[in-house]
Amino acid sequence: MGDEEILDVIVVGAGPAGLACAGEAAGAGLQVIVLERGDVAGGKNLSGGRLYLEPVKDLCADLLKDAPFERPVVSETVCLCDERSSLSFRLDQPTGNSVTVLRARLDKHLANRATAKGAMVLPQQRADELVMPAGRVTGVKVGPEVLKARVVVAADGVLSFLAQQAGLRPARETHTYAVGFKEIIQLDAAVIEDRFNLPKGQGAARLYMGAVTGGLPGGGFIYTNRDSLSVGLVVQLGAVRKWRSESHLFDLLEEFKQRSDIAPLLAGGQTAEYGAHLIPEGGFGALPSPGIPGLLLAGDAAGFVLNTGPVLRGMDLALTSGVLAGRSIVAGLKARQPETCLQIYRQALKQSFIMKQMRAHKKAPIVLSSDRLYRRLPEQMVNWATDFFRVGPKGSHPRMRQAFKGLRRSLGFRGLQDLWRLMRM
Amino acid sequence: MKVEDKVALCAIKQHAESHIQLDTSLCEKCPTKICIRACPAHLYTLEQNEVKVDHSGCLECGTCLVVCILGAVSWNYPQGGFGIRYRHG
Ligand SMILES: Cc1cc2nc3c(=O)[nH]c(=O)nc-3n(C[C@H](O)[C@H](O)[C@H](O)COP(=O)(O)OP(=O)(O)OC[C@H]3O[C@@H](n4cnc5c(N)ncnc54)[C@H](O)[C@@H]3O)c2cc1C
Repeated sequence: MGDEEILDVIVVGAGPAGLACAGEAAGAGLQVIVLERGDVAGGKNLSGGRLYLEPVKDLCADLLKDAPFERPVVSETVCLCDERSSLSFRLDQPTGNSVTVLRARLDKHLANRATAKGAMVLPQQRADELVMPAGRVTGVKVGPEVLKARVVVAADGVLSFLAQQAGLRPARETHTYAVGFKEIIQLDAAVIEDRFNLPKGQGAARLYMGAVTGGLPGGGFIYTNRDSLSVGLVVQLGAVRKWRSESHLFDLLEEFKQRSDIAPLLAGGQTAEYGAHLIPEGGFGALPSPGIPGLLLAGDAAGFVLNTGPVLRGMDLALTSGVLAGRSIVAGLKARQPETCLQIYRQALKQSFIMKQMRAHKKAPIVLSSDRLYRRLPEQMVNWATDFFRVGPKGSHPRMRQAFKGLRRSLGFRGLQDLWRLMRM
Repeated sequence: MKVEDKVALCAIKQHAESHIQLDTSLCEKCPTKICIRACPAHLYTLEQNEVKVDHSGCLECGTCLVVCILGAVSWNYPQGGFGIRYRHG
């Protein structure tokens, strides 16, 4: 790269957002490099996780062709937990609409696809800062070197130091982040299928809400991979900051694994890896502007994550925003009007499911930060179910009608209000 | 399983220089010292009433940076090619 050379596009970050953008732009004939601070694409990345396929199956058909997915999720379970018991809702279907993934494998595949389309992915390169004379981004600095481009894309993830430098995220507000931490626990494929009652090659997702997070807003998860389980917790950092407890956060994961309704699923498994990563959970109200002149934000860097409780999505939004950013750059540069890229991108986002869904679920972050959802509600539901299934020493058990009346009484006005809010969210 | 043993399973290429700096004069005044309980890798400890951080097991999540009330944590990603490398993710 000569000193004077001006590239078409520099993408910072080889995650789904950056690689989708790079593939799109390079595929249209632009000169694209991707800077990734890790040893390899995916080496720094971690999700729960599962990828919802419907939103991206057309847009990213090429990118996701032959992708190394773990298992299609055909079995969905939500478990409400008190300290010792849990009450579950479970749906088993013949086919699923999401697939479990491991990011080291998935992101490597995406990098290969982007490379095949002509993008150059450069690992071990940390973009240190934006070059922005007079408020317009013209390149990035990597160590002492300055790389120039017509457009820079910050796909550098949830902490996006570049978006911060551009003034798009001046203060990192604690309540707009959650932390997820998880283990990869290795188990034979056949054992997984047996324990989760799955047809061969199919997968399960289990989400846990209540005492598992020690009363903090958040939840636990188990996802089945081909021959491992992803087992972890997500908690909102705004609540962690005010957390009154003697425990450490990581203790909660150990307690989660040792619960009597979870330990049998993990028994005999070997922990192969431990990891942690933040999630931008501020929702619509916390979205930054998606760029400044010369700079576009995509994926987590732009705050594109939807958490509505049972559904947590970031990867399909990252892929989609990456493709849209790539297309907007192609349109702007082909018309020889690079300054229009941001406006085209903004428009494309507005018309996409990303902004529509983020807006539709804009109340979710507030509703989901109510303590009672994690303390009182799961406990009350478990208590009700316990009574419902119980035959007492006097030989009695409740009639259906009494049981439901009992539930209503124990939920009380507040509990019903919580349920109502959840349903209207 | 202890969290130290979990972190020990991770592939981490250590840079000699720490990418985490603490302004301990601020930590002294911190009523909660929440970094100690929040860090998923248990890098923060209290030694003789002083908050200490050991960058060597860092998972690079940024929790400390975001929960610190007083802005005492300066944090950047390790230099390119250093730090955690997830084999699964
Ligand atoms: C515990 C957990 C569970 C989740 N579960 C799900 C789920 O089930 N489904 C779902 O869809 N989403 C889930 N998500 C969210 C999802 O992982 C993210 O939304 C998604 O990874 C965002 O992709 P991205 O490309 O924007 O960012 P990332 O995947 O974070 O990629 C950013 C890249 O930029 C690189 N980088 C950063 N700074 C620099 C720099 N200065 N120079 C060079 N490179 C840099 C990083 O190394 C990284 O490779 C989960 C997240 C977590 C943490």
